[in-house]
Amino acid sequence: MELIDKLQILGESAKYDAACTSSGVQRGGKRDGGIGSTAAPGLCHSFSADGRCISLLKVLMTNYCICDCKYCINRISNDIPRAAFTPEEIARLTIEFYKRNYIEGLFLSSGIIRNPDYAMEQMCRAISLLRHQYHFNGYIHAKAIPGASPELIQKMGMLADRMSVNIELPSEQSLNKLAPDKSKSKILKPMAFIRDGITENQHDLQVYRHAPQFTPAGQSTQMIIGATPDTDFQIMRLSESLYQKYALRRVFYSAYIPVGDHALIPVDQPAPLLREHRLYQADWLLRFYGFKAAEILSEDKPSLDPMLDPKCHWALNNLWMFPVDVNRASLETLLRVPGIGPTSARRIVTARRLGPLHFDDLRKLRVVMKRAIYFITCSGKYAEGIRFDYRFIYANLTADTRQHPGSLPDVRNTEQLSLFSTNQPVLQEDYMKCLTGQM
Amino acid sequence: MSDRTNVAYLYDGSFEGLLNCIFTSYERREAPEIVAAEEGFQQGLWTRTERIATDPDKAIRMEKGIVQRAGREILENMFLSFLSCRADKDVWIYRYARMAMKAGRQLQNMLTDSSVMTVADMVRKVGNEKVRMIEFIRFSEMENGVYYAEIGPDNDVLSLIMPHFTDRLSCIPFIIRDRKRNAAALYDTREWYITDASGMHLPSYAEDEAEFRRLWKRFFQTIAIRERANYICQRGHLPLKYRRYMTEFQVDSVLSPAAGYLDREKSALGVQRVHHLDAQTE
Repeated sequence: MELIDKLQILGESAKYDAACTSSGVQRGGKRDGGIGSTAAPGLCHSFSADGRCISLLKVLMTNYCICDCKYCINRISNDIPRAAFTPEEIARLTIEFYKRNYIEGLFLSSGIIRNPDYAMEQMCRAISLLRHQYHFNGYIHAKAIPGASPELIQKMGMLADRMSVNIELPSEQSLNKLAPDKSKSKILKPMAFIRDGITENQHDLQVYRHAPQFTPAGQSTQMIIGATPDTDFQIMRLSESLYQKYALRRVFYSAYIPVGDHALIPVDQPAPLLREHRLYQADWLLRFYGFKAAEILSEDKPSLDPMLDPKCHWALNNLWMFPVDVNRASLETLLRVPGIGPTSARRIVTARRLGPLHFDDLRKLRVVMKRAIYFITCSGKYAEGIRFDYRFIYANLTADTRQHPGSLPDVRNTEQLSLFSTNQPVLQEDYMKCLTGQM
Repeated sequence: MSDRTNVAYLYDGSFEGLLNCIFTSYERREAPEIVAAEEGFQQGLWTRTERIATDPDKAIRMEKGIVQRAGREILENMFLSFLSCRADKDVWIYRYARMAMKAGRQLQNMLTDSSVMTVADMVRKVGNEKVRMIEFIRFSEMENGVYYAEIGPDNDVLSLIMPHFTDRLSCIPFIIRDRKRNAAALYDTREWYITDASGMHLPSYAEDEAEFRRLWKRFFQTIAIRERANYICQRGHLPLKYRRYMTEFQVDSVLSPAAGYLDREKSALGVQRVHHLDAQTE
């Protein structure tokens, strides 16, 4: 088989993995014949036709797999072309693409060929070749395979910048049903191992500054949304505990795309992209805005509102905390106002030292006034024409939708909304942002 | 600031020249209405024009003054704004500098002042385009082992992206050519400099080059999830104007540097059209 065909088959098999980030570690280049550096915010080298960023060469080592996970394109029962890269091929492709600035590094995953240890060994060989023979100093993200031995995970962690173990589905019941070969404990074990490796490594680094680093960009995970009946509330609680207990850098959500029919998968509509988008918004609230999952959702209201972003939704349900006066409120309080993010909150705090801010000033500070205006006062005064009233605010925040319901493509309307059992159309703005892009 | 004087200061187009304009306005106790580069300046009906000579000493004194009074960051902001493509950047940098000399270190808190805001906007745009260039630039290997890339940014970011690549590809000699400004940055694995690119002669591509372009294009097409096609989102992240320089949007047949700029431009658009048709038939 030619290299280009392998690349197609193994890229095809890898593309449903959401994460393609190259962030989390800053490392300068080497002058001694090595090649490559990494940038902490991550760099996106291209954007594919679905609007997602291409940062890393995202391929599988092989798509031969002994597992039969129902949601996965590479399941053993699926009739697709199979191929396997040699470690040499992976290393050469990565280095040549990298030199041409096509990519920021390598994202290597693998189907489970023979057994987990064998698959991990193959991946380790490719990465080790890249690091030691080609002196590649760029970004490497490697998947740890559940069930592989700790020694191999340790070895890979010393070579890669980031590692991830996919949690796959949001609950154990779903996992038992759709991924009979995997179990919660099997997935959480390597995750805990990587977490402990990182903690231990941090102690070493405090003692020896040049100690070798263990996954300096931390670990992440991904779960599939919409293939199982799990609620948004369950998902957010799971993410919250993953962030807290496993110190993950990121949790990725991947709207389920049917890759073959299977009777066990209850939802058969195309990708619930809007739901994925809302989950990412809620995820941001957990990580950057100091929210807790229980504040955003609850047992009796377990779904995110498709009409409103989670922050507006929260603010409307907690109107007693508003309005907030921009000239007096603390940074934490400002962060809770819809339309004010970490950047504009900091700008407000800086700018108001020199004198009171008015609504015009807030516009100059790039506060998103179309959302913020209902929740703030400037020196005790509301903006003109604003009524502080639940129905007034709700109507205005969702006004775009009601004015231009027809401007959305019909097909998407039906496929997006079938999950939420409402017939309300969706904000057009959200369609634009719907695909994860750089998230 | 004193009342604006009905005069336009013209300078030679260099950053030092601009600093001289600011210096002169203090020296003569006047506030020019317009500050602009001599080249391309359109004479207004009512304004008197004045050619300001570039004196390196005055430029250094002005720099020192700004750093001492308002901080190094302010001078850096001025320099980054100077690289902006905004037509009236000179006036805003001038006003910003005057404001800096008046307000000192308080300037950074004056986020609602229009000159502070405009300069911050320019700095942000230049910075954003710098990152985009770092991301979207595409090198090709030449037969003599040099890596060659072309860019066409709106802002003059060539000098800003060089440190990134000399650090990353430290042992590879490379050339980045700015097509819009006809300038080229050269790196010989030791140091880099920017020079005029007219009359630059290019060798032909290395043997492997076509193969890796083919591989990359195939990967680029493969990695997109068809069920999620979203060209609007793609265009938001990766504007059409940059695509003509990017391998994955170029047509295979264009594989000689001599094939020329226009052909490549056309073919890049051609690829676009095909993509769109693709989306419609789905």
